[in-house]
Amino acid sequence: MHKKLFIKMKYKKGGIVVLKKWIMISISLLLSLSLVACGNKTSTDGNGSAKEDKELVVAHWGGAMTDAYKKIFDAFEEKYGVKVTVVTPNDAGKFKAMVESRAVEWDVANFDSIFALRSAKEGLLEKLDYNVINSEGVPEELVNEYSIGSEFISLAISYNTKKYPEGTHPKNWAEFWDTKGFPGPRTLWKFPPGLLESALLADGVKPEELYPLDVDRAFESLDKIKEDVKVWYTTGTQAPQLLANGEVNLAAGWSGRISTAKSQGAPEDLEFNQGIIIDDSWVVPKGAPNKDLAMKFIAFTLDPKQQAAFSSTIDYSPANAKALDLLDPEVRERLGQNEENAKQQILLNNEWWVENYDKVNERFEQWLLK
Amino acid sequence: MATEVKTDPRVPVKRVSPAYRLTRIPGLQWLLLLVPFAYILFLVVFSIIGFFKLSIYDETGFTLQYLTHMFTETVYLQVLWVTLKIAAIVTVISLLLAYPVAYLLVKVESKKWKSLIMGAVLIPFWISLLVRTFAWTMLLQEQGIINKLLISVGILQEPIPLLYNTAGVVIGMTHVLLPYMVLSLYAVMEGIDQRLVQAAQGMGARPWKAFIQIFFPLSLTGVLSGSLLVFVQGLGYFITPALLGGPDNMMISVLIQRNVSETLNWHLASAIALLLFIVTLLVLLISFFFLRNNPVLKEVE
Amino acid sequence: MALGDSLAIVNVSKYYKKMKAVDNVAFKVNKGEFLTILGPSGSGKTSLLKLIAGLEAVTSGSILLNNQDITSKKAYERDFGMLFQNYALFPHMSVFDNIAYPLRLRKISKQEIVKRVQDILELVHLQDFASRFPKQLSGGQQQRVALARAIVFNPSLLLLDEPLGALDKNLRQQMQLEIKHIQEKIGITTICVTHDQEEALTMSDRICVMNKGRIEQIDTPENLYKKPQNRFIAEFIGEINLIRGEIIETNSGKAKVSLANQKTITIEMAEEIHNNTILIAIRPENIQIAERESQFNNTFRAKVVEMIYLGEVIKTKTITEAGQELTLKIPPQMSKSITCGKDVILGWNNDDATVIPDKEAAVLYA
Repeated sequence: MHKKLFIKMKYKKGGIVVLKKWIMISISLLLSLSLVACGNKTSTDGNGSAKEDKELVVAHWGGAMTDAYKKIFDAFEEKYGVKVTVVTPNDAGKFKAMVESRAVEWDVANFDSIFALRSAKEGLLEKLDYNVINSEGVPEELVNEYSIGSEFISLAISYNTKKYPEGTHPKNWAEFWDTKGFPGPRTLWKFPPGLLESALLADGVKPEELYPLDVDRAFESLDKIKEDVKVWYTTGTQAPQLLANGEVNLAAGWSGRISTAKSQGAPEDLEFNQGIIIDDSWVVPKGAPNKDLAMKFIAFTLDPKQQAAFSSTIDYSPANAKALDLLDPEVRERLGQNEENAKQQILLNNEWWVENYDKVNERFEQWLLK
Repeated sequence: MATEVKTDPRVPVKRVSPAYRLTRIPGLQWLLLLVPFAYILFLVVFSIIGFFKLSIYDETGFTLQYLTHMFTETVYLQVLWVTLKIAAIVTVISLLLAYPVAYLLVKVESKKWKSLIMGAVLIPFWISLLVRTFAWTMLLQEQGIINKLLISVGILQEPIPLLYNTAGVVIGMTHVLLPYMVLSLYAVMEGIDQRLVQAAQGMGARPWKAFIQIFFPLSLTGVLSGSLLVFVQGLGYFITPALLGGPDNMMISVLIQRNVSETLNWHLASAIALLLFIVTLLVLLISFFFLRNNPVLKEVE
Repeated sequence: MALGDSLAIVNVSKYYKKMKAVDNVAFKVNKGEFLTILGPSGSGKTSLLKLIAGLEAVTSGSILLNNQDITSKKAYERDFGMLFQNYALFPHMSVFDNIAYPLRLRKISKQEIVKRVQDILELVHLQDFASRFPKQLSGGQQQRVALARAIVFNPSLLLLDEPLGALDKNLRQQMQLEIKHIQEKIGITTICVTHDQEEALTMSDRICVMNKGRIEQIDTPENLYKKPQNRFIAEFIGEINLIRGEIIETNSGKAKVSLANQKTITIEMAEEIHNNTILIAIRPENIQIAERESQFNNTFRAKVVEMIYLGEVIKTKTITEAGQELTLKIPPQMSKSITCGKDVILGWNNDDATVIPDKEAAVLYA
């Protein structure tokens, strides 16, 4: 039966390789599946394992965010005389696998806050020691038993300044949704948290009445703009690029990325009004080898001085409000954190999303295909 | 103290290379086979079985809820359909592009040209997938080189969308997978006796007829193996469709990845992977079923 | 069936870059004739066949079929049947489809195709194999299918390229005769290329011997064997003894030649030879062991140096008094009286010898 499946592969110089076709196929199948299953590659800076108390392994995002944190890592190394090893990216699949197999390499990790809350629920985290960590100044929504906020990102209306010069750009989500008044292609983040909020705000829901989100209404609102969304972006670098090369006119962009591009001369800018604030959190994986040092590390990063240093490097706001006072007024302006702007922005309700993310995400994926 | 070994100079000593002597050890061939076999067994088969087990077992024990979820929520079957469709389109296009290239490779006599063409075919292998994909976004975007060129020579009036839609995904994936197709075709075409085509021409067949009736049917093994290789690989593609595709080009591997590392729902991820696995096996079985009586494939060499 | 056609090769040359594969070759093949092009590898015989088949273009010269110029016609326009060395059967087609292939190209009706394929399968004794695939046939059967396919469409010319090269010896001899019989039966003009002289001698009406792109001699098998015109032919076909001599005088087709052993013989000369140095060619079977010197026109005293038993004969190598090596074949029963080291008298008749010019006089010293 299998004989007919033989094929003969001849290579000019390499001799003759005879492969059973079905073996070849199953191998390629298995490989492609295993590639899918294994997910992203992980790059490890340094030697990755931390056996002594003298080394702290931090799992972080990679890219611009991690670069901005480098100052804080260095300062921590100096103060405590330890070595900080940074592992990127903060692969959630790997994280879960490590904790479940009790082979945890990371001491501390930074995730988006929704994910942090979710993994707390799944029992993947250590409780934070608030005797060591001083949460003063951090908004109470972000101070949790298993995680604490680290920085804010504003998902804000971003626009090409050539298309919308001198304040002609949309100033709220309702205008962003108005494809007649503000025609042209848009790009949105392919991630429901923040997106549904902006859709509801565009549809006239008051900020204080957002939660619990009316999912049906949000998708109805999204229907109205769907045709004008040219790109559903998946990485933070995409939105500023698409704006810069004129591929799109408008974006719901990550504030830091847009303002970095702006400072480098790209024709784009941000509108902080109705910016939706999403946040990242520090967590300690369950069974982390250097738990105590990890607590000290989190405490150190939340220190107003360190937070201010971070925000001076990249245009993301500090989680600790006390750090704002240490910043230049100019930087505060750039962060969208002057007195006025701060009030106009909406803090994402992570708790709601933890409960509803799976269902909404499934529906979102289906909606995209329609 | 040296021991003197006396050899009879009249008897020629048969010199045997050590490598050859190794092959005389009974059972060694099997041992050599065992190493890669164990590798595949432990690292691929076991881990995949372990992964698939997640789709029917969770904390509560045996359950079919994840698999039934595949069919009750339409998104999974829709994405599967999109995945199969894109993989099929990519397979057909790479076949159409690769066939002439492979044929040229067989036909060209100059060694220099041959290695030049082969080099051009293999170059994509040497460049990181991400770099290539980003390069395509530069080329394909509305202000990109391709659109600008087509407008400047007057073929187009305004830019056509090549990015963030099926066209973008197909272009990107075809670029990545084309070498596999070329090599599969070339391997088979190299083995086709050119005298058969000459013979057909000698009997009165015009060159194109001889090609269609003789060369092409004989190259079908290559067409089949190349197509399967590209199709099956295409099913698992992830980065390229995510970066070059639009919302309706979601491939099933994206769903798997999202469940593995975003929502941490490994049971669901496993169920999706199992679905993909079964569908792939079905595709292979069907293609073998239809081709089982092809005399070229029957050939046992 | 086909009555056959005549083919003329007129001063044809083929150069590959600067290499002359075929160098100004001219000959004619008559209707119904079986002509073999024989030569060692690299002699240009396969190139010549490709030129005739139209698979390659001539550099100069022309090819005439029944006096019509077909030089510029492509292979598929020439309507020649060709049998390739490896048979070139289409592996994806059954025996029937293989043979029907040239008929289908000619848009012949289905019933006619079935009839003609059946007829030709009968001719090659393969009636029961129509639905088999080439891989399921033995070498000899494949060969016959290929032959059937080459003649089924009544081509004007049949070209055979090393037709039996891939067969083992017994089968080869059997197929030689079979091909010859079929060729005679249908009367098709045939050109065969081979390096195997036995094959050429068995099948051909005439043989064209090629060497280095040129024709050395075209003649019947018998004449080639008995009357080689030059040293190449003499040495290429069969075994031969060459004895060097000097022409002393010539007289009406006869020449007086002095040999190295100081003897002088008178011998017939087919054509005028201008140099004085000549070679006398004698086949081993024409040299005999004499009891007395007077028994033959010519005799040599020689010593037996080697005897090789070949079954029917014993190949015996001797060295004459003048140091000339002569090979002869003696019947096995004589081995009782003749042994290595024995002195013998060798004799031959003038009629059995041929005089050929000695172009490389320095090579041989008798």
